[in-house]
Amino acid sequence: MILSNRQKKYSLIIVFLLAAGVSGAWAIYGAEIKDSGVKHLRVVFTEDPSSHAIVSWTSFSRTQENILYFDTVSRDAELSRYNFEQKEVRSGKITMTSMDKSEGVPEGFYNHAEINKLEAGKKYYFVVKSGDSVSKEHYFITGSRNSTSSKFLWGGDSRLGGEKPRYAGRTPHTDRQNMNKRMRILFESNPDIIALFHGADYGSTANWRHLYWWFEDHQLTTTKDNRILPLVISKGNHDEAIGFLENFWLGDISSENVNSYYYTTLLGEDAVIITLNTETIIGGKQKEWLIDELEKYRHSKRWVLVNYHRPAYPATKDFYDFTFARVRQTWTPIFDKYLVDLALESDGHVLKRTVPILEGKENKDGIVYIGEGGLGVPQRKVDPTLWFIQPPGMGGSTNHVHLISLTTEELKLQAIDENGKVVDEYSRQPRKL
Amino acid sequence: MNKTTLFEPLMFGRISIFIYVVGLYLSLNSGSVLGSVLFMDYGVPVDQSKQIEKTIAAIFLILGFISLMPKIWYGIPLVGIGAFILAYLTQDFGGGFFTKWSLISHSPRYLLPFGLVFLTFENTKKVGIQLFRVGVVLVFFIHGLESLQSHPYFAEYILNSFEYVGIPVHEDQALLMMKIIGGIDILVAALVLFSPSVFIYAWASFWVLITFVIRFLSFGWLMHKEVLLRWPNLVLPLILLSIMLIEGKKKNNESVFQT
Ligand SMILES: [Fe+2]
Repeated sequence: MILSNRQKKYSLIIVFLLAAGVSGAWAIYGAEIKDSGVKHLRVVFTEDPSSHAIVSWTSFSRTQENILYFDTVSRDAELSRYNFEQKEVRSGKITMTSMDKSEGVPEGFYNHAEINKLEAGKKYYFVVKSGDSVSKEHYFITGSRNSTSSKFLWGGDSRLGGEKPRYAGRTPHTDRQNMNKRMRILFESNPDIIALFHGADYGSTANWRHLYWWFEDHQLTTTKDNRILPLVISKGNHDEAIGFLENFWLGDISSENVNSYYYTTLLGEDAVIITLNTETIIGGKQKEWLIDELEKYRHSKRWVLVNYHRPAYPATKDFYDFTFARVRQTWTPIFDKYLVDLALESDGHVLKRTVPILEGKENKDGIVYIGEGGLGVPQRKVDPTLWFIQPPGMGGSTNHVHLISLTTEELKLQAIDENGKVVDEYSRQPRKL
Repeated sequence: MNKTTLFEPLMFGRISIFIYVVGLYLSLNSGSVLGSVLFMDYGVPVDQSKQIEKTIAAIFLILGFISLMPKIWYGIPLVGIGAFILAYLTQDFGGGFFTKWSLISHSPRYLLPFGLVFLTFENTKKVGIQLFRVGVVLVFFIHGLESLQSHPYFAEYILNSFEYVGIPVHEDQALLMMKIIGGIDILVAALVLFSPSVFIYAWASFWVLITFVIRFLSFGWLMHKEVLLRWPNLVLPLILLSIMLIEGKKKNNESVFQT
């Protein structure tokens, strides 16, 4: 085929445009996100939010000096004015898989500063410093030690969500961002919220390409005046990768090892939340530990709640699947024996609240199981025929976070969707034990 | 070996594929990794992904029935391809203990059908035997490794089944047992690889059977789905054992790499 000069000219233009388009698209797709300094500030509470916290952050180059500066009054990020500092920071390079690299997330370093002997119910202003980079000043408020009421947010499953591309877990994950913005609004309008108890499955994996974006989005929960929403961590089936341990370090907790991710959080005078871990052996030591904790707290606390990832009463996945039957067989007889006040479950990607259940049957004195995960994850549908979500229980399919308040008179909860609409409500009086 | 002597293992293999397919049918129908991948990774609406799962479950069941027919062989590799895809999806989707190794731990599920096709024909039956051997090696090696790395389910099987028979053990003891069992499993894998014998295939079959029994002892009848899906783990060593016994001598003791 012989081309005329005119045809040659047009061909050249087309080839040029195609090349420009392809290289442009390549540049956009392959562009590595450049980060410097410090970010992803977060506060983690474990067993005693009134006296202990871990401040964590990401830095982007290897630095000799990583320091947390803190004080009970604002020092406007002038380092020399802070009365306290924590120089013993657990730092290290965040593991990168080949997929993390091809996804273009920048190499990061985790930093965890553990602080003890904090004053209860106090504002703590802080900045973090890695090398020459210093963060803006933020603050958090410690939990109360002797209050008889407490309020917290609870929700699970914050992986993905939003329009395509779903798989990569990169942007956009608008549903998660919207839920985080909703949590910020709730946090601002309920300043007595202690923390967000997360029911786990943070990302599709706990590799850096997923956790990086989770931390980016978590920043949306920080209030306009820079108050950080503290986290209470639990572990889900998508949180298996080493990045979980690297980035969600729990510091010194009384469970046998820091990787076990089960512990009891004290909320004021009257309440405890027992975080369990379905992603390790749930019988054996964990079961013995659970019994010990319930022995210790059931009669001394008005409210005893349990929080774990895989549900005993799944409202969408197969009820008879071994994954859930194992939780039902191992833990629910113990919950029944000690009559816990509420069970918080995630994993299914629906909204549910069961009827009160005792020994596998509806019983007005039984335990209500709520949740199943809606912090931005695509929502499935509940199986409407399941006996345990019939009225007075419920089932639905919407992203949600729970606002739970515990007082001397009642336990009150609201499930709130991303628009702020209350999609479920429930309350009950304390048990007469 | 003539066709009449091979008939028994072949028919057992076909029945076993059917048994596995029943497990697959139940698992797909009650919601499996396939539905999760379609819904979570590809954004297929939840009802539609369930429908696709149920349709594929039905197709598998039909393939299972076809596999039972002695003169028709072409349904069998299709089951193998399906099993391979599911193993791949399980590994890729993650979200379960050691799913990062699913392609290896699920290998009997696709090597049984593939191997059986080769076993059907006189001139390729050696390949079939070697594929079965590879399956036994892989499944014992990987479960050995998982056991050494304290697979939580294995520990719970031990804790619960010992409790069931009235001799409760402590978690540390269960984990110690798993170290020993894991070591033995890897030894079995090595022996099947380098020096297969009637004894080692008998042991392998017996051990898989034990793992089925403790699943039932630990969590009751609802483990039937789990056991049906793992049925090929038992079938591979059993068929190799029966072939050895039928032949009366060790014919298949060359390395799998020599085929
Ligand atoms: Fe999950």
